[in-house]
Amino acid sequence: MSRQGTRGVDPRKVNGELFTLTYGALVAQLLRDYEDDDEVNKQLEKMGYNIGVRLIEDFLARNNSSRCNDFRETADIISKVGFKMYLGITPVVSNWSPAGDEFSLLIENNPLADFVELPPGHNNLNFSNLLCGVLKGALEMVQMDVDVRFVQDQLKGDNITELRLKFLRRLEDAIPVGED
Amino acid sequence: MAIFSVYIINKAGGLIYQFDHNNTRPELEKTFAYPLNLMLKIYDDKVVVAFGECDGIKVGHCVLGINGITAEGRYLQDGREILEVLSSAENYPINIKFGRQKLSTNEKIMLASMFHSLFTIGSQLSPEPRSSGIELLETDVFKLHCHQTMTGIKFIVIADPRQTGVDVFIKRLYEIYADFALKNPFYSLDMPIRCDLFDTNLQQTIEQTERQGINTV
Amino acid sequence: MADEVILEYLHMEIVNYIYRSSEKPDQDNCLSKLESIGYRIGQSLVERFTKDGTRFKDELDTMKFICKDLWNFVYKKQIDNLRTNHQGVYVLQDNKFRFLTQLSNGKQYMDYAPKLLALPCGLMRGALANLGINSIVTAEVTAMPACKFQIQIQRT
Repeated sequence: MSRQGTRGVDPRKVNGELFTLTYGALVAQLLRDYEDDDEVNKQLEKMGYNIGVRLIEDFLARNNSSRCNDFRETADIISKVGFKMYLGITPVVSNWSPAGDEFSLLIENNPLADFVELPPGHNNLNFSNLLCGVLKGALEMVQMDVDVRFVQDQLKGDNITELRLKFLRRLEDAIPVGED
Repeated sequence: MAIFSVYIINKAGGLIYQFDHNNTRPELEKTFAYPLNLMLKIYDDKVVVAFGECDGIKVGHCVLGINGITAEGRYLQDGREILEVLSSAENYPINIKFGRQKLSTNEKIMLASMFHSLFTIGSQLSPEPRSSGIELLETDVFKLHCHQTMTGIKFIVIADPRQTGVDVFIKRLYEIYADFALKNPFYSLDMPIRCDLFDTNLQQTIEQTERQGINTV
Repeated sequence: MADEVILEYLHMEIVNYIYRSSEKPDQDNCLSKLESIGYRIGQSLVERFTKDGTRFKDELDTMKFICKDLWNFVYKKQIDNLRTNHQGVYVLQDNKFRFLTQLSNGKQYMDYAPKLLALPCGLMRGALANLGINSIVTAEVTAMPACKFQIQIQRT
């Protein structure tokens, strides 16, 4: 928000605070609708998925990115282009598995969770679970089946928020011709 | 300079959008005396010239109208059958309009899915793996530009061979798709796009591209 | 800073979620839920927004703040026209309301518009409430993407 005053305002950017508050209000509504944290997580992921499958086209239309050669490249693009473009942050890519099929995105200041404090008794709630759904949905549209989940969350007292992405398989059926 | 038409094909080869822009196909009108010196026959539910080319009327042209009444398939709009009208001498002299029939929606859907297959064949013929498939198809009167996105959607633009900036246009087309089809709450993925805003924005972009095409030549 | 696409999609999903989760299509209930989500947002937004601002002189001054600053903050433009009958009714006209720019004209879309406007109405009511003004906010669309918001001040 502080940056907004100093630089020319990009018409495509909205205030991050507004986004954070909107997201917060949604989660609050979900918590009212469902008693169970797991159910809230599921709903958030589902909503994220719906956003992801559409957002990917916006992403591809506005970036001249070509298909990634390996998962490392995918990780880089997610962090340096995707997160940067849509949320204005660049998570650190780290903790690669030896096989190169699993990595973590380390998020220092999660814009979704600014000014959030988890209410007591919601230890299973993954507040930012929407992100998992968005990533899963978007990657599925470029034919990658990826498992996305939170393993650490600053809201739960961890030092950092860590999102773990595990490559499961290429969705062979859906691959457009010329790319198999 | 002109962009003739735009097609969008989904992952499965289904046509989800089609737009014809100032598609002026040549039409010919001529007044005939009895008996008609052309052989007409019904083909694919249309009245087609089978024999006897004259004054630019070619074999394969369809009857588009008689005495200013538009033809609908083998009938006129007023319900009379075309061949019957033409066979009775009291209707002459008669004015007949010939031209190439516009593609029907069904034909477009069929052609789109055929192109989809052709695209696949094209990339299978490639000596190298990961060929992009058909990106450009050239003829004497038009060029067909095709761009396949990473998600598998194909944007096809049929344009004048001299039209420049089609690459930029296709990129804009993709953005319009992302903005006005996908952000429309009524649009479901992979389904036909029916949305005014999409149409108007596309039209504007086409016109803009056509203008720029002239400037740079 | 977030991209507007994200916010638009998030809003769309919130609307979809509310309608998906209600068992029978209960328009009024869904709209009031959306409105109350907006109310929360408006309340907290204004809290942070005015923390170092000066107090408002009067009602009209507050309205001007809504039309200029709040609108700019949320929708990146100002209200195009503000009118009042000086008896507690204000009409704010936005000729190009952000959440409606992706919608075409047509009956189908007109029927959908209230769903997209419930949250913004709530947002405004929440903001006003936190500035000490109780009100009822309604919205009306005659031709996309223009939109009229009517604020009725509730005096007790």
